Amino acid sequence: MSRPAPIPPDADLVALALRGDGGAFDQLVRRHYRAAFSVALGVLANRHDAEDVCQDAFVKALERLEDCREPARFVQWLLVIARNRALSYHSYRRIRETAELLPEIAEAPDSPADDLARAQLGDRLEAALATLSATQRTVVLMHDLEGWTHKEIADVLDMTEVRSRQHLFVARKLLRAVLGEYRNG
Amino acid sequence: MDEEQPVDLSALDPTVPRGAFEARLARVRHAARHALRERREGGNPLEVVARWRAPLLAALVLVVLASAVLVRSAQIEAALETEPADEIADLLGVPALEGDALLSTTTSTSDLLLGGSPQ
Repeated sequence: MSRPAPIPPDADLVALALRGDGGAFDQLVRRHYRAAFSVALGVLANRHDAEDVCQDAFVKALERLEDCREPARFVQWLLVIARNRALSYHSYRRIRETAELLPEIAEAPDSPADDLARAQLGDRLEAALATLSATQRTVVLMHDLEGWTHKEIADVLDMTEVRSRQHLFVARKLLRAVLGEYRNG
Repeated sequence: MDEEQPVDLSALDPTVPRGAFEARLARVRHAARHALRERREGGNPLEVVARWRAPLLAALVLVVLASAVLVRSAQIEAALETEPADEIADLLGVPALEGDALLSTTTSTSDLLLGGSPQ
């Protein structure tokens, strides 16, 4: 019976990516894409814009990898980049235009029916999230989508754990109210 | 309490469905290809210069110091070479040129004209 390959820590992947190892960079992107997306969506309240910023944040992180003083805390460093890129997003709209010129990497649908249902639900959630403040949105996405603890969220968003809990409480309450309106309406 | 339960946000998960996520990863990979290649090849010329700036400056300082030491020692050597003749001329109370002649091992033209014997 073969053992599963050990999962390399971020610090090792960062060291390899510093030397231009595409596989290591790929693993970092796979591992932290959802976290970066959650932060970007929290700021922008738009999935497509969040994806653009997410892509941009990973490329910028790779370009400035020498600045990552603590490679073991790569994700915290990446999320700061993602947040800053999201805050100054409007100058980066061109990224999507470039991506659309790449037909060879267009999305491959898994199941059209599932995709449609998922897209509709995603639209409703996105609209509901848009009624929250950026901080409430970021906290609820990082906690309920990405599964981060309040300690980790507080660390990245530079707030106390208590404040993070308060934001989550209010965000969930508001989201359920808005989503309930959708269901009832 | 209801607010203790997570809200199901899985419809917003960018890693699902798998095909769409792979396409997103491919876009990131495509956008990062130049940065990765530069890292493999050792960076652009400006980055290479920036990386070697400190050692280059240190080497430059060493060269300047070594040059200063060499110039100074050459000056001292030159001064030592001229000193004995000057001292003898001073002692004898004659001009420095005659001090040179006294130290010289060759016969001067004036000695030959006056019929002096070679030294």
